[in-house]
Amino acid sequence: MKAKNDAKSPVIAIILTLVVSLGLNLFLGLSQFEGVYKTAVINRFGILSQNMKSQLENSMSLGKPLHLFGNSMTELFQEALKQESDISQLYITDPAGLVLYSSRNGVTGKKIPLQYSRGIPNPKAEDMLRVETQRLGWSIFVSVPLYRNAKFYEGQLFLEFENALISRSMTKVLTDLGLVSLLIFTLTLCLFILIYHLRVKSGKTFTPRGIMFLILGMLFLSQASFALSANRYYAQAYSRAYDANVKVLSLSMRQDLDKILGYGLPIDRLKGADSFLAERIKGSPECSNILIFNDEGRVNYQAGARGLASIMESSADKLSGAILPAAAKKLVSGEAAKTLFGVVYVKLAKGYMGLEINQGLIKARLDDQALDSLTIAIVSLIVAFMLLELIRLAETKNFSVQDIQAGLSADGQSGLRFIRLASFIFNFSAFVPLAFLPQHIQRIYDSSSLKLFNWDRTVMVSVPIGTYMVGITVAMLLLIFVFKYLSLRQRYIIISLLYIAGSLMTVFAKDILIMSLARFIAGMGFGGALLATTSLVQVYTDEKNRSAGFGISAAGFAAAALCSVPIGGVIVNRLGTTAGLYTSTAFGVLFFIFILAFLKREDTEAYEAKPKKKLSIGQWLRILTSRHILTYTFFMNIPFQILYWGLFQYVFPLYMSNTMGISESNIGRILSLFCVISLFAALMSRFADKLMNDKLLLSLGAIIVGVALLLFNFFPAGGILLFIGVIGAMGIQNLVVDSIEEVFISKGKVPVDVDDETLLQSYKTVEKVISTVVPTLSSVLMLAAGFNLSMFILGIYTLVGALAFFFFAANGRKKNALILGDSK
Amino acid sequence: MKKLFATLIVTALALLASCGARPAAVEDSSWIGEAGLKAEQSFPDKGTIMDFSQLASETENETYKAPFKKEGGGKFRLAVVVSGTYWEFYDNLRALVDAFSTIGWANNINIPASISNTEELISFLSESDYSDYIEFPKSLYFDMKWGDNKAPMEKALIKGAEKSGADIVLAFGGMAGNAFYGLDSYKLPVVMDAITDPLAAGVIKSYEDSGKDFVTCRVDPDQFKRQIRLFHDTVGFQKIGIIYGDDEYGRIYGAVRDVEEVAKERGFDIVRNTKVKEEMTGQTVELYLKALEDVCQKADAVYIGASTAITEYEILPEVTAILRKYRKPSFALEGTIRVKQGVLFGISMAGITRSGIYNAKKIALILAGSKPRDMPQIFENIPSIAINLKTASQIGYDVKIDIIAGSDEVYTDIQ
Repeated sequence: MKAKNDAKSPVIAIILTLVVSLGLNLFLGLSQFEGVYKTAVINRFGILSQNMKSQLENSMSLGKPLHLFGNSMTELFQEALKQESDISQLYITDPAGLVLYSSRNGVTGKKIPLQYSRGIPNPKAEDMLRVETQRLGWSIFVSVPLYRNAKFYEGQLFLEFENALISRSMTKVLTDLGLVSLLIFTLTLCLFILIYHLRVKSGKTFTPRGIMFLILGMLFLSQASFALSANRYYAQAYSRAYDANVKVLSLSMRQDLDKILGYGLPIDRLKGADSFLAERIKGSPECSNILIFNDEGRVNYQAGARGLASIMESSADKLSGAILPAAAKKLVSGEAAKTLFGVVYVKLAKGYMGLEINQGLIKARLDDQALDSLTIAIVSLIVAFMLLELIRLAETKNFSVQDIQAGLSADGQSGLRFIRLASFIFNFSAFVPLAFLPQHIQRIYDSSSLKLFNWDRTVMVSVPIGTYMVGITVAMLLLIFVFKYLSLRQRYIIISLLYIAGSLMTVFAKDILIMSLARFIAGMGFGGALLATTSLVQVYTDEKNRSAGFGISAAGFAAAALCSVPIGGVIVNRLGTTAGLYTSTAFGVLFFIFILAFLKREDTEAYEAKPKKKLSIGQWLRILTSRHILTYTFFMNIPFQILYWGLFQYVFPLYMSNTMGISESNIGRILSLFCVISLFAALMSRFADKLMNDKLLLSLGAIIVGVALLLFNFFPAGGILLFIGVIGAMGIQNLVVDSIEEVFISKGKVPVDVDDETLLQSYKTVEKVISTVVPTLSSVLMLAAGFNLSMFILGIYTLVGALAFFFFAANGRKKNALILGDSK
Repeated sequence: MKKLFATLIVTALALLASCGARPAAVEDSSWIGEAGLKAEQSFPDKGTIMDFSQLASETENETYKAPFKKEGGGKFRLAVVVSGTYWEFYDNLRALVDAFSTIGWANNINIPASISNTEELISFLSESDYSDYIEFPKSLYFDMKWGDNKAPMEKALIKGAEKSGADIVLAFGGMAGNAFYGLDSYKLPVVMDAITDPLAAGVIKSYEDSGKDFVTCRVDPDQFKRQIRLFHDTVGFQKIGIIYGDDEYGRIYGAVRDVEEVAKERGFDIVRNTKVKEEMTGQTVELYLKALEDVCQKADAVYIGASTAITEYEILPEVTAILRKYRKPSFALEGTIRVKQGVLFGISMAGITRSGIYNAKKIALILAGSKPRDMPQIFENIPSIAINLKTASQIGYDVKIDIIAGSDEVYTDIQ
């Protein structure tokens, strides 16, 4: 995008980027919202199923076997269908899954065709309350286990409702938010045109950077506006859903209490009402407390977060002093529930009942939604930014690497832009299937008759993952020893074609052998791309901005990581794994086209014209055992890899989930902090290029993490904040390593006369090998020393390693700059 | 850089979870095809809920015979023998009569509400167009009047079995059952029902085997144990009072063996008074009420069995007056009928329809040639928990509301 004031080009750019970013935000946001909203809708049926469960379990505990309910089951079914007309059918099965009772004719005695967790003897509280959902045909089934005396699994209750119930609601949300996004699109576009027009009219011109910033500003504005509007909309939808659920609960409970009160019992003589209420609100997280008021408005019984209390027991002094609002006193028996100040009130046959809506839960959901909206806005902005970069690269497609290197390019950023886009597109393609591939492989294994050597299912399913890793390593060695003599363009074409072939084979693989081969080929493509990136940076950067080149590549990698997961996840959720695999392949093809279009032969001629020395295995081994590589490997890389492969991938998520009870989505959010920090790799690398003291920065990064890890020992109860702090520190170290590592390695002194690229690529193979053994090392350490002590040991290792590295490592780039200048 | 892989995997899983993964559709085509889960037939019968009163008996005995006539084209003749006049015999015979209509062996007839005992019912049936396949002849009905009227039955059905023209004998009550079980062999099949504890009554060898080729009996081995466990769960007593005549019948009518077993299992004590009579004498009522006063003073709760004083005399007002006086929770072995009269708790066999169908199918199979001894005997009926809140209020006992909610029959007054 050159400094010209032709309005057409920027307008097309903003239209395209706005459409993509707003469309993506709408698409991702809706998918995110649908998940939570669906849960809220399902909870409504969960409440009803818990209500029925409680009645059935109560009767079973009074001595009624489940298979001998007779017509009392008919009455129970009729009551449930009367309460919730959206229930299509009800089923009760025995422990073997045979239908004992159903509102649907002709299915009794048949096995219910659903996969669900059977109950267990002596269940824990969470097992008792477990609600599962499953889709079959056009229906969704909510199921709960039925226990007798809270000990014996007697059967399962299923509520069936139409899936269309959710899709109808979602269509309305889509229409509403679609209109909002259209409005924001129009307003943003008008604003952009107005600003552009006013500036041009005043005789001033836009620089390419100026237009870029203006477009980015508009994108940010539109994303912020949409995120705020959508978030507000979602908040209202949640509140409505929660309110509706608590109303369902209140009406269901009113029916039971009115039946009891109808026998003439006084409201102040309901023995065990507190426990009864507590039992009934179990599994209804939307309701935090439940109170029964007498006709004068005094609380007689309560259950929930305030604790159990009954006017008939010694706990009477714990009864809440809640006051029945005057408006609630106007309610009459049989009237619909009414929400007043966050409490749902109903009139009972005698007295009143109030159910407090769990505001804490709503707030937590809204906080989560806000975080999701922020993540989605960032993802949308990144994708729009990449699109903008592509547009700008296309506009300056005649940029010449020679011009760049000579400082003559009209747009000196084009080389870096090329690196960023190449890294983003390829890695996006590679990362899309990561999340769902293991399950896909598992399904293929299960559906295929091919079973090898009687291997265990887990082992067999891990084979394709293993062949992928082998493919990466093989490709790395091939690049160092064989492909080195091909042109960079040829290398990339081979890599891309291998990757596309592997991805396509993955789509069509029907058994584990073909899948393993497919992943091996795709792994070769990925491994090749990892190493070829170093060559790409060598081509499109000079000594002054080499770090920037590696940093930008890392930032492209991080951006792809951030964007591919939610986008891939939504595609798979909506369209299935095959669509996800095709998406990955399509981006592989896009990468191939991108390389053909932008990686020009003449750009790499100079690089390829450099004489390439043949590297023997002996030389390779001498490089790997050089002081430079050994110092970096032992003092910096091994602790770094233990942290990132062992802790980050394995220990932290498990510890946060199993020990701290943090939800998977929140773990994902915490860990994504790491990726977000990595987006700034380009800035860090520019800073490193200016500072020219790589070992200082690398040591500082490691010291920050080392100190953070020691905190686990001093503040074992640090909780989630400590984890966030440590992951932030790890992100900073990663930022430094991503920005500097390649330059530091390639500029080091080794006893073999090799070029920077060969040195770097040789090191990368060792790094790969280390990365395969560190998870095991981490596990052994955790088992032997426990979590806090392991963190302390790793903290000490990282700290001591950082100090040793600072004193023993040679700062190659500075030394070179001082002694050799830029002409190594 | 590669550590970002790790982030990806974890973040991916987390985000997928937060996005709400699409529930896996299990496509069982047989279910979809048969049950109509396809879109167009998704909810064909919404709102029409099955009558589950017969459900279990249908699944328990799928192989019953379609109606057929006796060889030569006549109707099968069913002889009915009752131990005496007792509401349970009538209920069970009535359920059987209805059940034959349900399974297609008889016509649907309206039985007048005024009919309240077995004799009246047989008389009505013999004059009605009840069935083309079976009949209950008046001449084949015998009431043994608790032992005072054995001879006509013995003459007609035991000594004159062949001449009687009966095809099958239905014996209601332990005494009726015993009249046949004592025979080494017998020409006609005998189907027994309404016996409190058939094993203790000696009319079967074991719950699984009648011990005689011509005999089959309906048994529910744990029926009374369940009652006592429920009573204990509900009231939480330490000492339970029971009253029974210290003879074979007294122990059966009081379900004493079951009370003892549950007491051992749960660790509570039994307060017994056996100074009562299980035959109808001038002292029967007086002794019973005296015994009740006695156990009420020593026990926390009272289990009212089917002692002769209870079943043969209208003494429930006096019984409940004593229970009120001592404010004792009570449980009636006989269930609803006594709860209505003021006993606090009881469990009835609400599924009388089911047991009728069970017996009807069994009889059809025997008429078709099956050996009675081969018929399954264990049949668990649908329990119906009954509670009387008026009694609870009178004795100052607050019943937990989950028990009220779980009860099938709640009475708020005393008949």
